[in-house]
Amino acid sequence: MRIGGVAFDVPDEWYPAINNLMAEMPDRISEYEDMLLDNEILLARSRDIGVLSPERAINASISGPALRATGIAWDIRKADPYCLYDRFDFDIPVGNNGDCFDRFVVRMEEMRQSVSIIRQALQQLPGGPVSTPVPLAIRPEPGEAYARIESPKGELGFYLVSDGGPAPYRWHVRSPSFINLSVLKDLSVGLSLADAIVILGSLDINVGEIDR
Amino acid sequence: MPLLYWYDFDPLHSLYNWLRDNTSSDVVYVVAAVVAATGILSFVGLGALVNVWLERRIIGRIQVRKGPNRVGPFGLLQPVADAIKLIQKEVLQPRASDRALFNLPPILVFIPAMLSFSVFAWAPDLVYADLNVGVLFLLAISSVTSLAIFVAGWSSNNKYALLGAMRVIAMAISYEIPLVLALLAPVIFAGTMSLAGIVDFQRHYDVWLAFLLPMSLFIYAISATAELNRTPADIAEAESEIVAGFHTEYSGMKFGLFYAVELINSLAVSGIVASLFFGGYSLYGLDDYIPPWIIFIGKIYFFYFGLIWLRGTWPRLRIDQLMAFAWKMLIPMALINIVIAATEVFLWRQLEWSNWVLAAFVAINLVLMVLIIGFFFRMITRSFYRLPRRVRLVHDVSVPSLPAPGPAVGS
Repeated sequence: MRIGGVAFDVPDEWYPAINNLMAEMPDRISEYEDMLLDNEILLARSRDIGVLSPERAINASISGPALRATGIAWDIRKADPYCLYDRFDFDIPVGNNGDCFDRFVVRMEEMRQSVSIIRQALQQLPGGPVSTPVPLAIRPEPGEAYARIESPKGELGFYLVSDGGPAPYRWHVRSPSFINLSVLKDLSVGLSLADAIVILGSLDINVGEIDR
Repeated sequence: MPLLYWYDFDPLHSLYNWLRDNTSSDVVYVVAAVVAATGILSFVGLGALVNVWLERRIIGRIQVRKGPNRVGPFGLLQPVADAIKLIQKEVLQPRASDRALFNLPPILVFIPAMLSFSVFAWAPDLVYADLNVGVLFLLAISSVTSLAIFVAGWSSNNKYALLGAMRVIAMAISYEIPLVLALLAPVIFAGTMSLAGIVDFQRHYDVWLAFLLPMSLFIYAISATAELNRTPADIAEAESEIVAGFHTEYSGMKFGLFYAVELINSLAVSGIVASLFFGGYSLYGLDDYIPPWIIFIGKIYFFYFGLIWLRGTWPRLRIDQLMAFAWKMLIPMALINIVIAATEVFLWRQLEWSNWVLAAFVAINLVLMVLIIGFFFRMITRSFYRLPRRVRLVHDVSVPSLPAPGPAVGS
């Protein structure tokens, strides 16, 4: 992906591959759910572990599956639709308790919703050019802009300030991993070492995003 | 009339007869010991290599990936390549470690793993050492492994190794109790501790102890999985929590021995399950046509596959949950199981060891097992089902109105 479009059109073998995957994926997700959702060991390890309250989640600016697991239906693709998301019909999975297990089931259901979105997108996919000509050096007007997307880990936002030159005057990334990690202490106080691993895994952090 | 093929041990029998007729009994004794030990050691050694490949391939298949597939056909030579790599690697010795104690455990875990194969009955007259305390012997040497692992963790002078070692001891103490209690019931029924004797009992009455004492099998299978340090009970080397646990500081072939012992012990446990609960080398008359030792090895690998399946499917339990499971669920169940077994043996003796009583016991014990396990299961899992386990699907964004913001983040 780049300014003005994408680098290449999809190759011909991509369509059968994605169609196969989309045909296979719902069965696979159901299989994983059958195995995991009623698994007592998984429940013992994740139920009531790392409970995040909706109030705490909003105050700590948590976003993404971790926020939805607390019971708040919030998705930037619905709240502030960007790209083509207003054209697609999908649901927001919402958890009940905000614990590690809820974060896990929310992600499982999001996989299913993603399959549905990809199917709708495939039906509407037009042909034609994939990129528009863009000047080599872009000189935006002086000012500032903030754009955000719903990334798999949460709200991924980019804040840019331009002074009219080819390089940004200020560039800030709001990375979801960094902000979601801020509640790690709240979630893990009073639990054991093994639970900290589960909580870290359920927050789904990316270490590269945290380093800023 | 049993069929005889090259893979029957007929030549060995002729050799034995010839030696008996032409030499002294001491020679027979020594030759028999050496030949049989060679056989068992090669089975165990080859088994360890095969198991490495089996585990990685089967777990790969379970987790929808390929597993080793580059070295040799289907990656069959991968274990050999691994072994060569491990032998070549430098064996490091931490400076602060206890030199003697650090070098001892890899050997100390290997010996009991090998010894446990000596009491198995591979065929009607094919037992390396038909100890009349075979079950006791197995239990005794299996606890040496826990001790060796503790020594390994302690002598490494590494905090993660020590944590792993402490976990091993805590778990070994907890799980050895239900394990021993579970094995008591088959011993009460068979009236002998010799593994060959227990297999003979199952052949004589044509009933596998797995059907007669299903609860024993259930308890033993769980406790043995825990004793083996395999997932879902691999807290001794929980790699996401304490690096590699007790073998953090071991490298090269010393680590390789720990790895091999884990696989060999899995085979040994499968062998115990096969002999004690599933009739050993007997297979309801089929053992007249298939060599009994092939049946026995087939059964071993059948249960070994079960262990691999568990490892590939289940997540790891937390240590307190694992201990609570042993003390709150397995030990009471094992005690109830012994009372049931003893009562039934008493009744059976009153009714003069008749066969139909055994059939009744099979039915009664199956029902009792379902009831008792169901009861304990509900007790343990009740809290999990308090909340719904499915998500709600919401079509539109909705944020509840919250009270005024609390203290700032990080305060």
